[in-house]
Amino acid sequence: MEQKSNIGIVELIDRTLNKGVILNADLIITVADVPLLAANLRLALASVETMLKYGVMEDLISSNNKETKSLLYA
Amino acid sequence: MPNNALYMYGVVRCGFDLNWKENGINGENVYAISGGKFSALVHDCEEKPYAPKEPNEVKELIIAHSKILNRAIEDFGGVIPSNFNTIIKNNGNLSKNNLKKWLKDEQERLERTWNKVRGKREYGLRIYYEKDKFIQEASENNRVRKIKESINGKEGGLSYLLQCKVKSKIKDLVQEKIIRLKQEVCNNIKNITENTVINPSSILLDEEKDLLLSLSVLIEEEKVSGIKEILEKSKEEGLSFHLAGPFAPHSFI
Repeated sequence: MEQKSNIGIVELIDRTLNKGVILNADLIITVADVPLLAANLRLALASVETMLKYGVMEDLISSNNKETKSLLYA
Repeated sequence: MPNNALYMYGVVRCGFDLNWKENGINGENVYAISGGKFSALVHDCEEKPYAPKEPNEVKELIIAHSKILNRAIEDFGGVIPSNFNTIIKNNGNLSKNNLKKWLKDEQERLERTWNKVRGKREYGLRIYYEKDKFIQEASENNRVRKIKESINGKEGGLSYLLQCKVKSKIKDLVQEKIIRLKQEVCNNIKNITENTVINPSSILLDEEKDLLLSLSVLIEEEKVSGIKEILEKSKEEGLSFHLAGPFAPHSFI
């Protein structure tokens, strides 16, 4: 149950930190350390074993990504 | 430091300034600044980013940001979200004037985006497969069984080569099934969603399962049950899923 709620929070963080409407760079304050904050928070939410697994899984996802994209946008 | 900058949560279709009176990050008063047909939802802040030190502080700030976006969807029928920590600087002019000018200048682009996301929510969908079950199933395949039978009575190098062939065949069968299921699930989901994007990498939080696919889908709230039906059916194939949301449509801007 805990893990499921963590997945929701991680999904929310990924979106809120990385995706949104683009404004001209001269209008906004650039925040360089946000990715670091996100990484720290993810570490706090995920177990060590999970992060190890993630490392393995990330390779698999990357290798399959091209093929998966071709399925979606076919 | 004076509050001469603006923290921006997102943009809504509203052609006039509005004292919205919602409480945002740290209880700040959130209001709408208009420029043409659109308004930005903002609160007054110092001209510096939020810099939380602890993970829990980040979590609280992001949840507060997200609550405002969800409230905006309810009150304005949609929202074009900004990233966390989007702060409009003073830049020689008042932040308010900078923002009004930007809203007017970008009106065409905002209109296109608004039409795409209006009335819709984003969900994060993770689909997992049971690797052991897939391997077990593949190892019971007729062709695999025949190769296994042919090992009987063989010794040394030939036996070793045939065992390698068994492993390779099982691997191929599992991979074929993964590709087929991805295609089926993607096609079924594409049929009922407005838009779908692949999440390039995702953290796996459940070490018991293997991730088949991680997607962001843009969908009308009343169609979400359709996704759940598709996923329930795919359980028969040894898949399971986790649906997170609703979120503001961050991945579709």
